Amino acid sequence: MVGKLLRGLRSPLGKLRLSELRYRRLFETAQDGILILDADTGKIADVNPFLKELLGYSEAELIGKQLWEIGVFKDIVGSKAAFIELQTKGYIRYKDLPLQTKNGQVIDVEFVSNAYLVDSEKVIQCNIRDITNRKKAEEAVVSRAKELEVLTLSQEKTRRAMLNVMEDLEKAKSIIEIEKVKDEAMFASIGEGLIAVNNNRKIINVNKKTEDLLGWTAKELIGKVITTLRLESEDGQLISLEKRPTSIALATQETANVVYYFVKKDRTRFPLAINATPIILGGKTIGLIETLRDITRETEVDKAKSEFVSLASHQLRTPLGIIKWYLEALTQEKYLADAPTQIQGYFKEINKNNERVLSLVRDLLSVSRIDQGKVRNTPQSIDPAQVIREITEQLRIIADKKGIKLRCLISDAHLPAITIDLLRFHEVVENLIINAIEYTAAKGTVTVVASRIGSILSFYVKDTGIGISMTDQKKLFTKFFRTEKAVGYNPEGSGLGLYVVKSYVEGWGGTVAVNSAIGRGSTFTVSLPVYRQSSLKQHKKGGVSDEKNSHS
Amino acid sequence: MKKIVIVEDELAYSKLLKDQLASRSYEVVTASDGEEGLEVVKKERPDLLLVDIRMPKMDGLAMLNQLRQEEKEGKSGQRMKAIILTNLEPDEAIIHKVFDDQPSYYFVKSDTKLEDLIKKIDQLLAD
Repeated sequence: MVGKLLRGLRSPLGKLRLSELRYRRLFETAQDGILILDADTGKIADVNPFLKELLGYSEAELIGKQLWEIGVFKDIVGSKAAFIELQTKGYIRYKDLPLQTKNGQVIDVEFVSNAYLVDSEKVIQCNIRDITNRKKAEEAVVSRAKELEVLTLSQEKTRRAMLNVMEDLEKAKSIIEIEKVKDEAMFASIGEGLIAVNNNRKIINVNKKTEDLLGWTAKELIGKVITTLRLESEDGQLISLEKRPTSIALATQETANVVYYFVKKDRTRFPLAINATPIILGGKTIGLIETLRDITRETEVDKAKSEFVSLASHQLRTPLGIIKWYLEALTQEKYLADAPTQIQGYFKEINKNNERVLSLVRDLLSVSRIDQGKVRNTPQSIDPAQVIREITEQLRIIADKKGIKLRCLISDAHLPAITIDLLRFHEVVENLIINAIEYTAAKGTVTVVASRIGSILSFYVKDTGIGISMTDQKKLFTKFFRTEKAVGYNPEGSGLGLYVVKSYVEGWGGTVAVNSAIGRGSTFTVSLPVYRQSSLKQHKKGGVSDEKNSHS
Repeated sequence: MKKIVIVEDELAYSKLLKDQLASRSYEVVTASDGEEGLEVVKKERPDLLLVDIRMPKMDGLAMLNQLRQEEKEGKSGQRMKAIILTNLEPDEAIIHKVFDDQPSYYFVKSDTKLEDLIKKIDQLLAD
């Protein structure tokens, strides 16, 4: 049997059979998909198990069908064209072709087709190799390569950045060192006492001036809590920790300025102005610098100033006031009323000059208070129309004497009440009207007008007087300034009136302005916020209640 | 005859005021400091008090304060009319405190005409 079989196999026909057998085995067991197509129709003649498994179709579903009928190829038109190409060329190869399995999964394959003759029949064999894994591996390699590239690139960048940082650090270090030396030199040499304090209120450093000023050495102070340095109020009360500038500045993150008395080791004390400035880094207070200044001298000067004010007020006003009243009494005496005009003229001259000194004393007092920030301010609700009208009436005598027409065109209906210090307001209005009369020649006119626009009350004092040049207008409101023309016209003025006016008006949050030209008169405008004063004090609703209360 | 007490340390002022007011047929008694002023006021019980602020021993405001206090306690009868005459410009708040609910009459001497002051006095005593 075996011999016969072997013999049979060795025969040409047997050889062929053997070859067919081998092929068949290969076909069945191949790990590539194999497809046999009818070369003319493109219909599937045979399919190996591997391909069936790969595509998920049964043999029945495949045999006798055209590949594009099944839905393996997405591109049906392209596939038909490819088949025609295959028929003519006898060979086609796709390195990477997507095929769709029965359950819709797409697999990448290498597709090789060859056409050849079997028993004089043209047959096409397609070898289909699943390259999904290969592709994945390839992609992985590519992406790793890319990653590597990026990594290398970023490493290079990092390295360079590191180098830069190090270089910068070196530079910064040297700058910091220079700055530190500078700071230290400045800290040591500055003319004011300096104390550096950390956020635990401990003293980190003090300069030489501090040592001199306070009578403590740096060695004694560094590391100690700031309260080691005793601060007192003027009446000798100890300043508690939370009221010290150190605590205020640390709590508020803002500069604190205070004046207290510093008590030295020997219990003597002196007024000390302290400025505590927090050092803020990234929103956090890391400590502060306190500057110390001995203000003994300033305090003495201030005291001397207020003593002078008091002296001027009392000592000058007393004798001047006595002269004033005695003169008044004298001129009312019968025998003087009948005295010759010449004698009466002498008395008038004495009185005029006495008033002049009194007025100067008054202005000096006002200026002194302004300069010391001690302007008295007792706001009360007033009717500005009424006050201005009263002042105008009082000053009418002076205007009449000079032959000047004084008009007050204020009707009270449209003016709101204002809450203001009556005496200061009186001073402002009076000053402006007297000025207007003073610098206007006979037959001239002085007009007082007022208006309200929104929450601003304005009053205008307009004259037909000598006028003020543009250059002089700029300096007009400064202390002691008088224009040359004004000096020639009225040598008695002190040059303080407008300074006082401006200071008061600005103190109330208002403005004063002048509009004038030489020979064409002047208009002074004072504008005041209507609600400001009351809104600063107890907040009354608008000013309505004030208006009701003010009309007396 | 209405009675006026003047409390003033500056004799030139009190002398002139006394002359002027006496000639208008007021009875005038003077004192030269706050302490003396209080005694005189208690003794004379005037219709009007003219008082300076800055004076030795006791100043005018302290004197008025004490007087008002005693009035409240009922020792000195009715509330006495008063005018402050000064060359200071004290804090208005202090003046208000002294005068309490009563309108304050307060004159800066060197800013006031004698004539205006006397008019005010006549007016106050006419009521």
